[in-house]
Amino acid sequence: MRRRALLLAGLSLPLLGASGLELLRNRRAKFEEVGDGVLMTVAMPELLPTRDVDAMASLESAFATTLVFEIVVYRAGHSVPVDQRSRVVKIQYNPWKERYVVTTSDPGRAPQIRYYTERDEAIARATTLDRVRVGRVSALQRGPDAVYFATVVGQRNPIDRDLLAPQSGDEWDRGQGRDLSVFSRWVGIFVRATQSAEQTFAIKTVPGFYLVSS
Amino acid sequence: MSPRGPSDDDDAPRPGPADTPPGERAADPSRPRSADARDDFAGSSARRARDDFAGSSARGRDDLAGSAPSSDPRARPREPSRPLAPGKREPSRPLARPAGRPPSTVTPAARPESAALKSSTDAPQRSFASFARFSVPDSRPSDLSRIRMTRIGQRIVAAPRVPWWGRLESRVITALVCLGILCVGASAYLVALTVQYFEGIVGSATQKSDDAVALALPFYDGYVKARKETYRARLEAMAREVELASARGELAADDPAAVRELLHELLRREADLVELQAQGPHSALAERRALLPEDEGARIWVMSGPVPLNMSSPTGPIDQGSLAAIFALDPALDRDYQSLGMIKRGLDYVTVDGNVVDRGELERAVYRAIGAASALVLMVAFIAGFLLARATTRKLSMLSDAMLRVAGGDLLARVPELGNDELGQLGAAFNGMLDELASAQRKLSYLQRVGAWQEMARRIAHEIKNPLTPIQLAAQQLREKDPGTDENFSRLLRSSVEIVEDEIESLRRMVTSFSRFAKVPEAQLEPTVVARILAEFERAYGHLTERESDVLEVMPAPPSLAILGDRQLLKQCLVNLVENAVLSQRQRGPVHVRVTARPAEGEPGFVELRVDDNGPGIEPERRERVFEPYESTRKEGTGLGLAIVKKVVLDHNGEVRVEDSELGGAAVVIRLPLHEPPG
Repeated sequence: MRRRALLLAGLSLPLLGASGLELLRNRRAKFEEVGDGVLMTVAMPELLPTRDVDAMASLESAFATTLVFEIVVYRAGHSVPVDQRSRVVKIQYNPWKERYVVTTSDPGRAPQIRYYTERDEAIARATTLDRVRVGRVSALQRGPDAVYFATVVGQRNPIDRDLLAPQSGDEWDRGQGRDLSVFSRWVGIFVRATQSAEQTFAIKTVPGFYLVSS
Repeated sequence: MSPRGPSDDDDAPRPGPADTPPGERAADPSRPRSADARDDFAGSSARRARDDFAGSSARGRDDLAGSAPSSDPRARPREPSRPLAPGKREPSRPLARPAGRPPSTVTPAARPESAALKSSTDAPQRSFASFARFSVPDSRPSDLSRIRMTRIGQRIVAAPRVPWWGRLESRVITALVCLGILCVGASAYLVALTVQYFEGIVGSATQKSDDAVALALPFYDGYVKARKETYRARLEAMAREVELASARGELAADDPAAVRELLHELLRREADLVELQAQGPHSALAERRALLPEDEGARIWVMSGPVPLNMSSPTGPIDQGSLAAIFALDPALDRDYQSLGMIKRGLDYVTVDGNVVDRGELERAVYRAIGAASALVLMVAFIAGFLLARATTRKLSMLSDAMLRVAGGDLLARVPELGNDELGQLGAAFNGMLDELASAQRKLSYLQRVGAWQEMARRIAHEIKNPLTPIQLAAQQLREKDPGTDENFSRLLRSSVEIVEDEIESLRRMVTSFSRFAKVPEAQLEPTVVARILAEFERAYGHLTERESDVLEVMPAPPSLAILGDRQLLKQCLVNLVENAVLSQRQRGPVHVRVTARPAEGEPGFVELRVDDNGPGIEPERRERVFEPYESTRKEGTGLGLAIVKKVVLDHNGEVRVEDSELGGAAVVIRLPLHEPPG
C-alpha cells in the first residue's frame, strides 16, 4: 500500500510540475440566462495590470496590446467541454485623436469598438468579459444537479511566429545546414518552458452555476 | 676410399664429457665396471645378454627420459619393473607429456622441473631455469599475500595477485574514459564559452535594438505632435486668410454663401483637407468626406482646431468665431511604427524547432542539449574504449596465460592466432620460440640418451671383449689336447668347442657393434658439397651385394648444394642406411636402393638426403622409435645403425625422418641446412 502511494506520488509530481504554470485561479463570476444564451461577466485585471510598467509604457507608446480569451464551459465532474468560445480584445492608444480604442472581436460577429479618453477605463473595459456569451441554454441541463463552471485562459500579446524574423529553412536543408537543422531539433527537445504570451492568466469560476428549473 | 667407420680398438678416444651426461657417469661409481658386466652376462649367450641389456637399457632410458626437462617423473608414478620378453624392449615414452595424463598439483616449491633441471646439462638448464625464474615469485612470507595460485592446465603456478584496478584492461579503460571525459569536457566547456560569447554578442545587439526602438518612440511622439502643430498652423493660416479676405471686404461676414465658397476654395487647394468648418455668426462648412473617407488602413482623419476666426467688415463690428478642420493622414508611418512595436516584442524571442522561446531558455536548452550530446558521446566512447581495450587486453591475456603455462612447465602451450598486428606477431614469435625450444629439448634429450647408451656400450664392449680371447684360447687348447682315446668324448668335445667358438664369434661381433656405436666421433663441420659426398659414397660403396640382381642407384646431386658437415660421418650415415635397407630386404628378394640429394621442397635453405629401398617398410607408429638405440626388428640387428645416423644428423643441426618410399619400402630422409658462404 505504501509502495503504491509512493508510486502515485512519484508519478504525480512531474504532472503537477508540468501543469504548474497553468494552474487555475478561482474567481467569482456572474452568470445570466438571457434567451438561449448564458452570459458571463468576470474581470481579469491581472492580465493587464496598471502597475506593470512595461505593459503601460508599451500601451502609451501607441503599440497595440492584444488580449485573447479562451472560454471553456465544463460540467462539474466531467472533463469534456460543454461549450468553447474565444474573444480577442485589442486596446490601443491613438495619439492623433488622443484616446484609447478598445476593439472587441468575437468569432462570427462584427468587432465592437469603444473609445476611452482614460487609460484605466479602457484597460478595465478590455480586461473585463462583460456579459460574454459562454454557452447555449439548450445545450445545458437544468437543475441543481447539473452544475457548470467556466475556465478562462487569458493571454496578453500571444507570441506567434509572425512576431519573429522568418528563418530561412532552405539554407538548413543541405550541407552543414542540415546538421544545423538536426541540432536545432536536438536543442528543441530540451526546451522546457515554451513561451506562449507576455502574460498568461487563467481562472476557474467558483462557484459554478446551474440553470434554475422553470 | 672406404667410409670411415668407428674403430674396434679400445684405445680409441672415448667420447668426451659433452657426449656423456655427468649424471650417467656418476651413476654408481662404487660398483666395478667388470663386475657389473660379468654379473649380467656370465653364463648366458650373447643374444640373451643383449636382450637383458636391452631391458636394462630401457630402464636406463626411463631414467634418462626422467632427467629430461620436459618429463615429469614425480607427477607420474614410476611403473613397476617387469621382465621383458627376449627381443622386446619397453617402448620409449614420447618426450612431450601426453594430453590425457592426470593432472598433478605442484606447488612452486615442489616443482619437479627444478629437480629435473639440476640433473640436466648446464647449457639447457640455464635456459629453462631462466624460464622458471620468470614466473616464480618471491616466496618470502611478507609477499605471500600478494601471490595467488592459478591453475594452468594441469599445474598450479604462482602469479602475482593483481587487483582489478591494477589490471591492464581496467587501466586502459580508465585511461580511455578519462581521455574521453577530458576531451568531451573540454569541448563542452569551449562550446559553453562559445554560446556565452555569442549570446553576449546577440544580447548586446538585442539591447542595441531595444535602445534603438526606445529612441524611436519619442521620435514618433514628436512626429505626431509636430504633425498636429503643422495642421494647426495650417488651420490658423487658413483662418488668417479668411480674416484678411473679410478685412478687405472681399467677404462679407453676413454672407454665409461667400464664406462657404471661400472654405471650398481652401478645401480644393489643400489636398489632404477633408473638412473645414467655420463656427460662430458666420458658420459655414466645406467638406469632402465622401472623397476622403477615414480608413485605418489607408487614411486617418486628424482633427485640428478650432482656431479663432474673427471676421470683420470695414464698417461693421467684428464677428468672433472659430475655424476647425479635419486633415487626412497617410497611415504608412503608423503602420511602420506598429511594425516596430512588433519587432520590439519579438526581440527577446526565437523559434526553436517550431517553438517560441525566450533567449534565456534557449541558452539553457543549448546547455542541456550539449550536455546530453556529450554524455552520449562519452557513453559511446566508453563502450568503444571498453571493446577496444577488451580486444587488446584479451590478446595480452592470452599471451600472459600462455607464458604462465610455459612457466608452469607446459611446453605444449601455444598462443592462439591473434591476428596480424604487433601482438599477433609477438604471439607467433612466442610460438616459434616454443617450437624451437621443444625441438632443442627433443634433440637434447635424444643426445643425452644416445650419450648414455654410448657410455654403456663402451663399458660393455670393454668388459666383454677382454675375456673373449682367453676363452677362445682355452677352447682351442681343449680341442688340441684331446687325446682321442674316446671317440664319443672327442666328438662331444669338438661339438662343445665349436659351440663355444660360435658364441665367442657372435659376442665379438656384438662387441664390435657396441664399440663402433660407442666411438662415434664428434662431427667436424666444414663446408662440404653434397655432390662430393654422394660421389665418394658411390665410389666406395659401388657394390651393394654380391648378387647381380641387387641395385644401388646414387642419383647425381646438384653441384650447388653445399652444407656445413662432416663428410666422413655423413658417408657413414649413408652406409648405415644402405646396409639397413639391404639387410631388411636381402632375405626377401632383389634389393633396390636409391640415394638422392635435392633441395627440400617448400623449405628454402635446406637439403634432403634420401635413401629409398624396396624393403618391407616401417609402420608409421614405429617410425619415431626406430631411431632409438637397440630398436630393431631384425634378429641379427643391433639397433644401433639408425641411432648413429640420428646422432650424426643432430650433430649437423639437421633432422631425420622415415617416410614411405616410391620403391615400395621405407625412405629415410635426412634434412640438413644449406651452407651459404658469407658474401
